Parts: sequence; C-alpha cells; structure tokens
Amino acid sequence: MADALLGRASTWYLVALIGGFALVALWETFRPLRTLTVPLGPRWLANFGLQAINQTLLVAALPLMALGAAVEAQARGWGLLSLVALPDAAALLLGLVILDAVRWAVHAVCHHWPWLWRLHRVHHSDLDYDCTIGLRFHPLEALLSQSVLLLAIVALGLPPLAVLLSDLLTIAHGYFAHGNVGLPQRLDARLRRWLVTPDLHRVHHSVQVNESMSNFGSVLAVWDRLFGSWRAAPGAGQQGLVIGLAELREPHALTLPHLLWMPMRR
Amino acid sequence: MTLPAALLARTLTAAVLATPLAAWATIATPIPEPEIWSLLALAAVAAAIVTIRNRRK
Repeated sequence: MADALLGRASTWYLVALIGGFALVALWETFRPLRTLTVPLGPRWLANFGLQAINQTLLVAALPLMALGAAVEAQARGWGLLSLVALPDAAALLLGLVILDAVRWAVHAVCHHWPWLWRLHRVHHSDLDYDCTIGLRFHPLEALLSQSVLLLAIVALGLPPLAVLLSDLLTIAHGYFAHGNVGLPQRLDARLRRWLVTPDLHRVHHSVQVNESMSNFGSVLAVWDRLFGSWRAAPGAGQQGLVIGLAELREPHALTLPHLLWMPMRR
Repeated sequence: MTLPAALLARTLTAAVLATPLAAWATIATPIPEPEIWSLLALAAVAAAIVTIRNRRK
C-alpha cells in the first residue's frame, strides 16, 4: 500500500491542492460563517499569485522537495531513525507527529522573532478569513520553512510515507482550518481536543496581538495545549472578531506587489 | 447566460489563455510539467468558484 501511495505521489498532491480547495471553497460558498468585508477578486488574485510564485520558486530553488529528500535519506541510510529498528507503523506515526511539531515550532518562531515576523505578517495581512489564506505566504517564508522541514526530514530520517501523508494532510487541513465555515458546536468541541478547527485557528488571525499569539498549531492542537498557547475563543466572539493586522487596513495596500515588498517595509 | 454555460465559458477562456503560457513554461523553464498543470487547474477551479459566488449574489 505504501508503494502504491508513493508511486502516485504527484496525483495525491494534486488531489490535496485542488480537491481540498474545491471542497472548502464550495462549503464556504453555500454555508459561509461570516460575511466577507472586502471584494473577493483582488484578495484571491494576491493569494493565488503567491501560491504560483511559491510553487515555482520552491521547485526551482531547492534541490529536492520534502518527499524526494525523505526517499534520498532512506536510500542512503541517513538520519536518526535509520539507527533504530522501529516497526513501520510506529515510524509512520512518529514521523507524522514530528513533522507537525516542526511546523508548529517554525510557526511560533515566526511570531516571536521580529525579522521572521516581517515575512510571516504577509499571511496575517488578509482582511477576510477564507480558505485561500492557507496559500498566502511570502516566498521567502515558504523557502525558509520548506528548508527547515527538509533539514528535519534528513536529520531524523523520516519515512517517505510519513512525509507524503504529512504534506497531504497539511495542505488539505490548511484549507479547512482557514475556511470561512463553522462546524456544529458539539463536533467542534470534540475535534478541538486534538485537532485545529476553523473556529480555533480563526482566533490566531485576530487583529488583537494577544489573540494572534495563540493557536499556532498546523493540524494537531496538542502543541498549543502543551506549551500554553491554546486559546478557546476570541474575546469579541467569532462574528465580532476582526481579521488582519491593526496597522494595515487598506485593501489597496494589500495587492500582490505590496505583499511581496511587505517584509522590506517597517 | 445559465450557470453551466458561464462556468464552461470561463473555464474554456482560462484554458485558451493559459495554454500558450503553459507550453512556453514547459519548454523554457526547469519547472516540471505537473507543477504547471496543477497551478492551471487550481486557477480554473478558482475561476469556477468565483463564477458560482457571483451568481449567488
């Protein structure tokens, strides 16, 4: 089964990237949680523009992507896990958990280190909250976070299947967590014990700094609970929550060229 | 124009406009073909969703 999944990896990436978007975007279209405050066109042009640049840049700039690095590391016997004889299932689970922890740590560091925040605030500058925010990253941040993941994959020798599943989960869950959608309250309450739900992650996109410095989780909510950065709900409630950055409220200052230049601005 | 016709028209327009660009990018850049097609497919799906949303207003 692992070979079948890995053999069709590019198809699965396509399914997660496009299918994930289509599902959540349709859900938002028919059952939106909040009314959007600014026109969709310019926002989506910026967010999809960044995705196009990032996807192109990563392939062109990095010698290998995450899955390729894992395959290479395994073939050469690199990494800590190659020294330990773990059952396949345990190695897979460990790989998934470690990769999610790495993503949590990179995200938290982006909020705490001022020069990384300059890159990451592009992600937070959107004035509305919908699934396309999951694509809104400055190219330098995309390059940096992908490089950290590559290092972790090679240093730890994470199994290729864990890397593939983690990538697919993160892409699809990124759309879901940023979705302008709400789950039934009881389902959300159950899920958020372990997973990041849209209501939980929306708090992180609040204009209030004390709220945006919480809920850094990518897929698992456990890291925020462990490290004390978990916040159940925004002070103003889900409908009253203001999305974005306090200092950047003008849509005309958030076009694609502005976003690319944003890290250079104070 | 009905919604299916609008969706088809927008998707076909996107495909006609994007094909020369995709062909150029495939020949002239080191970016693998799946990357280009996945971006184009994403753009086409986004265009379809925008059409549906505009119709619902």
